[in-house]
Amino acid sequence: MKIKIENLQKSYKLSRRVNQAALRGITVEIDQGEFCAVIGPSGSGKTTLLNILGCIDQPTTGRVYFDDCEVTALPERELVRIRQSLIGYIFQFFNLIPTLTAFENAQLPFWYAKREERERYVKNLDRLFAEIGISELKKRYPGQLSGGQQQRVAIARALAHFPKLVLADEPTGNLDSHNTGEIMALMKRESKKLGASFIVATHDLSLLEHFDKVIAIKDGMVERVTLNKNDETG
Amino acid sequence: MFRLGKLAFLNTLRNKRRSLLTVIIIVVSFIVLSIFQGYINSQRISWREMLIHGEYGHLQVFHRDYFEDDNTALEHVITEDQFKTLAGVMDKIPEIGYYTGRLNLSGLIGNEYASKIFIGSARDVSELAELHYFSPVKDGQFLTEERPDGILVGYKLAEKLKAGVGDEVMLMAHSRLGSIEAINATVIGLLNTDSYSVFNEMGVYLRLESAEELILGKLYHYIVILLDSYDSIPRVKSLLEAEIGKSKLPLVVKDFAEVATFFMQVVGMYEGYFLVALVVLAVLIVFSLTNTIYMSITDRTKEFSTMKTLGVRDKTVFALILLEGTFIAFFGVLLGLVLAYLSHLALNSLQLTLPPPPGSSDRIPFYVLFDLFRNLKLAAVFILVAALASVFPAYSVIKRNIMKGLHTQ
Ligand SMILES: Nc1ncnc2c1ncn2[C@@H]1O[C@H](COP(=O)(O)OP(=O)(O)OP(=O)(O)O)[C@@H](O)[C@H]1O
Ligand SMILES: [Mg+2]
Repeated sequence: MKIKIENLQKSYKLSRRVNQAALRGITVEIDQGEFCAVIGPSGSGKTTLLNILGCIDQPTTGRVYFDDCEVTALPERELVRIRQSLIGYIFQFFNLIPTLTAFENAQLPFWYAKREERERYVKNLDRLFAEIGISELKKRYPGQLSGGQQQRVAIARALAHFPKLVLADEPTGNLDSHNTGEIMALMKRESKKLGASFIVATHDLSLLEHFDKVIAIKDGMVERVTLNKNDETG
Repeated sequence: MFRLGKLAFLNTLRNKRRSLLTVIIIVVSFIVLSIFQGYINSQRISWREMLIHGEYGHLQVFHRDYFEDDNTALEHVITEDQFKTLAGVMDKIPEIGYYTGRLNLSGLIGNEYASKIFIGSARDVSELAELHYFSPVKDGQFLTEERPDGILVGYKLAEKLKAGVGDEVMLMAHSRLGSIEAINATVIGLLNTDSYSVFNEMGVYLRLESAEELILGKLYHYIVILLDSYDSIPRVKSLLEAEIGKSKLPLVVKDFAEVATFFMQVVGMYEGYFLVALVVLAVLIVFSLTNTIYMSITDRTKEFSTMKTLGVRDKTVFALILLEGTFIAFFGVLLGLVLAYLSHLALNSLQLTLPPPPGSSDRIPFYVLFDLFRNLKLAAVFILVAALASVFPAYSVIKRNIMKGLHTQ
């Protein structure tokens, strides 16, 4: 799935008179299966951009296309379907549901999928848990997992339903450097395996070598886009 | 679905103290209402049985036009032949334990002091043994074979006549042929009927045989039927109606509830009180439960945002919150049912009594009757109320901005 972002603007109303512009016209394209970073200082608009791409927030103006479909024009009912079928989401603070086990958490996005579909997703989850190395943690509750383990579960959760686009907002922001490296490698490997585009917001500049494309934003505008053509191995 | 149920269940255990508080409110309300209901139930049944076995019987049979008349007119009555036909049927119905005919009449009662209008009820002497639950006899005795001319007179009427037990009076009434007939009678007892005080002023009980001498015929206004139990009423009623239809008798069968209308009114009044109590406690439960769920969902803002971000549908989130409220109510009601039952046992074992009603010196035994069906109905109402109480918070969650709390720790 190719993602096209056209002149995306977003401003928040702080009071009747004061508007806070978070995005001031972002135009950028992300190719199918591209492993992509969004960097920028705090407050530059990374989370806002990811929320709009994740179909949980609407821009003030501008358009987002998933292939030929203009998602910014869709009603909420359709957006839920898109979130369910096309998008995977990885959070900085993992956001696992404390009353569900690791494996149940990972099944959250497709709870109500049809049986055959579910079986396919669960099989994929089994594979992911094994590959990520957390198969023995399936029955644990989030409270019984370390941060790194929780984020691994969250990654499995984001990938179980074969999403076309995975959004990760500071996925390693809460992890030590060892876990950070492993998680980055893991995400890149799965991105290539699934052919899913990843958009990872980060301000850890040491990670940039992992990415195919780096989109630097500042004050809600694209400052530059860098391509890492020579990095093929991850 | 079962996973949603499991999730809802575990969520209710997340803040045990908060859930417990609501459960306690539900349990206490349930016990209070259950005992109230048990008391109404015991009163209703004991009073009902007293009236059935003291005067009304389970069923009564009338001429179908009886209620259009003055009830002492001799027009719409049950004839001797009709009575015999019906008796043949009734004798074959095993649930029928006893039946007897009664006749109403009015006329003059007099002696050397005064002459007064009376309203009379002519009865068979066998009623003493069968419809004996409370005796209307204040002084003297009931109608008996030994005193064929014996009658009972309302005690106030007796005062007006300056007559007492053993005194002679004369009864006069119109016969079915239009003539005026008179008989001599002896007062063998005085009547005191609490529930029907007009009988104290004007009432006379006389034997059916004495009435026959006055009206010159063997007629009945109605037949009183006693059954083996209250539950047999519908079956026997329809049996009798079928036979009446087959034999083309001009009769109707009425059950206790249709005849004892004042009793049904009093029962209705008690049930009104119960309803008020139910509403008051339901409001309390709604407030408490809504509050509990609001606090719980406020704590879980991030969780719901996460679920929605991951594509969990609004109706699933809605169902989850509704289920959580319902689960809390379910625990409460389950515990309430058990404790209410035990409270019934405990209360009854105390053998409490209530102060005597005016005009009586006997204290009333206080007991409560646990009716499983009524308690289950109450439980269903509680759970329904809980589900309703969860609707507002559930709705507020699905209306809430999805990004709220999503990126916080
Ligand atoms: N709900 C909101 N209401 C008002 N202003 C907001 C809201 N959310 C974000 N903003 C503002 O929009 C701008 C962009 O915020 P955003 O969260 O996208 O930045 P970010 O790049 O993710 O920052 P960080 O690296 O700190 O996470 C900021 O100035 C922020 O204050
Ligand atoms: Mg951010």
